[in-house]
Amino acid sequence: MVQNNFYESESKLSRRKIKFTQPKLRLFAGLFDFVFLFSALYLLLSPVVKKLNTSLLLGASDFASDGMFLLFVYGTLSFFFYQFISVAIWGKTPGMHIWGLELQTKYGDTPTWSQSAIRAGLFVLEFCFFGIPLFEALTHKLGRTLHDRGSELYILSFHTEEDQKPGPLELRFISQVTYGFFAAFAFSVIMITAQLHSAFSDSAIQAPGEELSCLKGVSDQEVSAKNQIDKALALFFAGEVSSQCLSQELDREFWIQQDWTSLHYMTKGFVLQSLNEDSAEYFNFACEKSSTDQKDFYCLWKDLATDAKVDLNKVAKSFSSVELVSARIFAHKWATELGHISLAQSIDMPPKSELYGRYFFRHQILSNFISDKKNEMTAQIEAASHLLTFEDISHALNYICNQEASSCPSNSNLPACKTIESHTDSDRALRSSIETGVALLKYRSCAKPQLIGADDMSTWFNDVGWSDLVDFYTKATITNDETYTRRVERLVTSNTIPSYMKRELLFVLSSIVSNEDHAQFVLEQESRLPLSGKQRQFILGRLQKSLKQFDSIALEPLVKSRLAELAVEDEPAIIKERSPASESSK
Amino acid sequence: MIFPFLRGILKWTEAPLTWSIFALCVMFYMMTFTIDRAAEESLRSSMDTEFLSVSGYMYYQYLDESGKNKLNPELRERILTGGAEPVLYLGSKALRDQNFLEVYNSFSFKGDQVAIANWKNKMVEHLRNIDKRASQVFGLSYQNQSIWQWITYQFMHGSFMHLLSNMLVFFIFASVIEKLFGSSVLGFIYISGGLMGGLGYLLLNPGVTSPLVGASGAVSALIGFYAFAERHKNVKFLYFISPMQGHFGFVYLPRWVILLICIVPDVSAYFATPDFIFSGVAYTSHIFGALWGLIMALGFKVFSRSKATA
Repeated sequence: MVQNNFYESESKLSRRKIKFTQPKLRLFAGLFDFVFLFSALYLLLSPVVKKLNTSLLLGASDFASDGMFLLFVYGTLSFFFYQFISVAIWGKTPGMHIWGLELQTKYGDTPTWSQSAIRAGLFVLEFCFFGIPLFEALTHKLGRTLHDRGSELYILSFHTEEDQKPGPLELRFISQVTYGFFAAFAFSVIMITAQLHSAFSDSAIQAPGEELSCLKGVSDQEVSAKNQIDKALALFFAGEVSSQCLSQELDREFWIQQDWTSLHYMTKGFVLQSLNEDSAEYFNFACEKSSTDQKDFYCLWKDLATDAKVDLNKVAKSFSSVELVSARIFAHKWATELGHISLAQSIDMPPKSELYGRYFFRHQILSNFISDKKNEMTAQIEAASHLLTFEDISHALNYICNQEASSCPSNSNLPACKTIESHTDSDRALRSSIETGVALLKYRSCAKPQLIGADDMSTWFNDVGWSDLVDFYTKATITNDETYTRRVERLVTSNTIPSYMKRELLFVLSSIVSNEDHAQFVLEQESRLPLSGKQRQFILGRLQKSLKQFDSIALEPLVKSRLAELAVEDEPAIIKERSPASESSK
Repeated sequence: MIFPFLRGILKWTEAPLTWSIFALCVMFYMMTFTIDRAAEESLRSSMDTEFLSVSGYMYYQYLDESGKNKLNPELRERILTGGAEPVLYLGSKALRDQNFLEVYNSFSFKGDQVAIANWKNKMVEHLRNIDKRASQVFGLSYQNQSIWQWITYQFMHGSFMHLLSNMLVFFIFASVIEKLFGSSVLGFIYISGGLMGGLGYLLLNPGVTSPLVGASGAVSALIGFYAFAERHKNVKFLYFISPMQGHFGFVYLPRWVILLICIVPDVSAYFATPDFIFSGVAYTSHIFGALWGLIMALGFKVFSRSKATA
């Protein structure tokens, strides 16, 4: 023990050995001083800390930087006065007192006020440089620090080593504490690493911040509430903003405090519909809540949204001159998609602007091509090529090639498929897009439609050099499934992605992975292609996992039974592996 | 790390009441552990981010309409500009405000009526789940204040870590007090300190529905009592800087250091915690408990002196 009695310490000094202080003891004294000063400062500065906490928790940066600066200034000043006053009055700090240390001049006097001030000032300066100058003491032959040398003070030790030695029971206790400390330290390191890992993984998913600030100036408070939501909804229909963006817009406090109109309920209905959630209540509410003169309009809109039977002429009449831009875009899109071109043309579209740019551009090009009496498919290919993105072109080509190849006309009449095949990027497309792989597979199978069995198929594969194609297809399937499974896992376990965003992303991912046509196709191909048992199990296992993950149970039994068949087929091989050599070696 | 060690943990024969209280707390924990585990699971399922967020918005409207909106201006501004995090804080505060919980069902909220109706249904389910928790039965809160709850809350703990940390400090102080002043003094300070801690919690958190559990109020009273009962003597502290030889051991320090290490951080944390946060630690209970311990120590001294002079 260092000092058995706080009040008796002075009388014991004469009995103790005086020597220059070890760096270890100075460190201990400093740590104790830190504990004392920190406790006192925390109490005194608690109002500042409260304000700083508020700023940090609310994510507002207004006070965060000022508060940190203020704390730094207060902390520095307190440190200065703590050192200055305690050394000037007692010749030591409370921490030094506990460890039996004392500051003296070279003549053995207690420090003067000016020496104390210089020492405290230099000490503060050293901390301003992150305490690095303190390490300079390690190179000094007496271990004196810069602040001691600058103030011409010597720090002396008055304690003996025997005072500190703990007894056997205390040693046992301390060793237990040590193990506990190590366990807690290791646990903290693991937890912090896991949290950092999760934070970095999440930031990778959320990197494109575009989707969260996507309203493109629509949410301007000066525009009336009705116009704001109308424009936001119109952008959504035009494909310019995502449903999560619209959902975020609806969750804003500005809307929360308003009495909602039918348009709000309708918008929320569309958001939920796109998230594949129950939206009927919202559409009904919009219809019921509307005023008498707008009842027909909102109820008609509800019918359109819920795919109920509607009178086309009534829609055209109701939507062509309605004030809402969103309604006209919705009707235009709906009519175009259903192929009612004349009805679409009869709807007065809003003035063209940047907001709905891409939507108009796409439709304008397509209608121009069609009005030039071109074949609709050719028009689509050319229209898609004007959009200048590889994805748009390949999507259009794949779609048309699939259509063409389904009826297997003579090869000369398959322009889209030929375009895909001749495309310089087709290899890359095959690796990255199952859609292209499927289209090409269909196209090439038209060359030999009457295949009898798997053997014929296999021979034919080799003849025409299709093994590469099969490889491409398998790789594309695996890459896709793997990528999406990984993304879904990361998404589900994320703590920082908001729940509405999770729902939407999950829906998008699940629609890709659990698309039943795709799953059906994978099953068909798996039974046709000459794959090894392991390859089959791998593909089917992944498919089963995808189907399970997204509650798509329609095909699950089929995949399960196919896997069971494979297991039975593989059984002899397994038995063979185990018997006789392996058994005898055991 | 520096921690009061005093005389360490004494044997059963030297501190029987200390060991009895410890056994009671452990028994209570084991008894409530299984009940709480199931209740926690259903509570977690009912309390998602969306539910908290809507609760926050509704609470904001309630405060505005009922003229009780004394929110921190920064929080208010952040909510008005659409901040998601502040709304969650407010939502969690809403679920702890008894006044709000009494009127939410009849209150006419503005906004998306379909979502509000869904939220009200979820709220009913949430409150039902909360009622299943053992802390609602044995803990002390604004709505649960029967005589026996003022006592039982002192023996119940919310988690293993809560029990462990409280019992470690309890053992160190209780065994010394029992050894020096006797079992009756320890029993009286423990129970009365717990009562004062509960009183402090209810007085400084008006209308709070979160139940107070744990021996910390009573333990703070023991700390306050010990630090002031014989404040001129130095006591043994354990210090631990690193596991290297010579970097840990014992040191004798004045008793006020106990307050500096054990009570001052509680007072500081109470003043440094923003109003809209429910920290999960009942600082007010600790502070009232410690103050009560201090008063008891002074009372004990006066009583001892008058007895000696008589």
